[in-house]
Amino acid sequence: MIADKKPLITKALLDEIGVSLPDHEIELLSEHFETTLNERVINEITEELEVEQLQQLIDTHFDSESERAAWLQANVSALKEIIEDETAILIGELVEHSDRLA
Amino acid sequence: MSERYQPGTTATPDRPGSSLDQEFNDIIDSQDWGDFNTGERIDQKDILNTPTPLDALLPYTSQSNPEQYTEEQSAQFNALDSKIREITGDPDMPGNELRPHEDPRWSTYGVMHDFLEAIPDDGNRVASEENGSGDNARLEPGAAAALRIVSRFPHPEALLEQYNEKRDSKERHARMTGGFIPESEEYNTLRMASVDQMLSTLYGERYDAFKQSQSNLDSEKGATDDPVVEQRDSNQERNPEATQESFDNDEAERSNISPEVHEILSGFQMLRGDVRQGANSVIYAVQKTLAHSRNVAGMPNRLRHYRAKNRAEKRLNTAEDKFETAKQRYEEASELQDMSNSRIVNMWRDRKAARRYNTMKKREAKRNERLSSFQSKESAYNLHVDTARGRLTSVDKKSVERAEAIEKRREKLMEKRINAETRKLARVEERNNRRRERGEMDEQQKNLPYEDRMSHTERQNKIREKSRLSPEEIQVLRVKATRNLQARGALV
Repeated sequence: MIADKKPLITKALLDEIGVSLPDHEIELLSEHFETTLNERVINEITEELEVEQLQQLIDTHFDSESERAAWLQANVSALKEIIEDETAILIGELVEHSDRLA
Repeated sequence: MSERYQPGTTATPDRPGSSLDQEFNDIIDSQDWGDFNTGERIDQKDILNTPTPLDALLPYTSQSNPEQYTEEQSAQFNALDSKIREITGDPDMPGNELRPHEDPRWSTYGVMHDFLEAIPDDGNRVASEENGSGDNARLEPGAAAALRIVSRFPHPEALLEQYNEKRDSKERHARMTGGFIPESEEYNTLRMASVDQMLSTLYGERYDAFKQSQSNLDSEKGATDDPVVEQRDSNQERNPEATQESFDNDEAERSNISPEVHEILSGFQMLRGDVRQGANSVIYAVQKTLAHSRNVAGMPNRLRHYRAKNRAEKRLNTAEDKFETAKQRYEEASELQDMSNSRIVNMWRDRKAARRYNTMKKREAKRNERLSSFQSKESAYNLHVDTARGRLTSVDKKSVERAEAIEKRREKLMEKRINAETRKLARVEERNNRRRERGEMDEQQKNLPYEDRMSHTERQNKIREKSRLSPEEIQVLRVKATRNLQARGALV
């Protein structure tokens, strides 16, 4: 859903929070971060949808990811807010555990 | 020695007579008495240590040791000695305390004392024990005693040796006390008178008879240079015992005296000969010694002494002048020396001070050089330290800044997380509110007539409106979210 975007976890971000890791570890951490973020966003969207909207989502067949994204943006009014909040929460958790990573 | 003894006619060094005189003069001339012409003097110490003519005569003397006599003999000698002292006026006896040079009889006493000291008092007894046989045994006590005296009388040279000891000591004493030993014909007369007095005391009338007979013989013979008498005396001196017999025969034939008188005369003749011989030797030696003493002391030649004294005084004055000049020069030289020493000391001090000053300057220059080097090193060191401190400060500052930046970034991200957590909680709360409002609204709508029922959109809007949280509720959720994070340790 958000795979096309630039990676959220970068070396610059890690330096800003005092985490110094080799490049390959940074890649592994970024991959794990995005997977976790995707699950949390999906869970939050699912919680946000009504039963009829959720049934419609299951019944609707989307030919592309963009159609599905358009459907979500049309039915989930707080989609952008949900994605931003979950991203901020997940980065906050990374900051919380930054001393263990450094 | 061939002459008969005549008082006052003893030969002196100034009047050489016999061969013995000549021998004495030769001995005296061979001695070194010093040169009065050059002012050389011999002090008393040298005089005492200088060999005397009598010392030169010592080899001619025989040995006689009075200590070989028995105690009885010694007692007899002492008694005789006391008697002689009484007769001759011993200066050592009480009442006769005359100094030796003041008593004209002391030398006579010395001669007679030395002579009689060796004569036993009991001549008969000694003669009967030791000379009981022979011609001497036939002599009467007086003549036998006289002969025995002669036979036992020590050799004149031995007497001379004994006398020398006492004479030397007395003579030294006389010299030390400034006195002198008198010598004159009067003394000799007195001395021989003492001898006559002593012999007269000892032998009484016999001696007087002998003396009278001797005078008769002298008057009969008329002269003392009779060749017969002279030959007899000479033989008697060489061998008294052998001469005694020929003398007895000659005298018996030539005179008509009785044998007794003849014996007495013979004994006294021999006695007198030996006494004369010993006395002559002693007197001669004393005279030689006196001559030697006068020569040494310079007394016989006052002119030489006066000249020597003048020369000595002149030399003394010259020496004193030279001494004064030398003393003055010495004082001047001492002053110059002191000045020179003072200058030398000052120069030495100046040079020493200069050397010390130069040394001090050199040391100071070295110290300054070392100080400059140290200061330059210190500056370089301080520069390095400052640089290091600057670097350290820069590093620390960057680290701090970086830490601060990191902390700020973290705080900012945590603030976003709190806001996100708050919105998420608000969504969950509003969702729950909507679902509750929808159920209530559905129940209300079912009870309303269809025409009064709201459309789906109107119902959704109204449910959203009623489900929406107020800002206070959202702030409560924010506090809740913060507490939750703090409880998990995510926030400080």
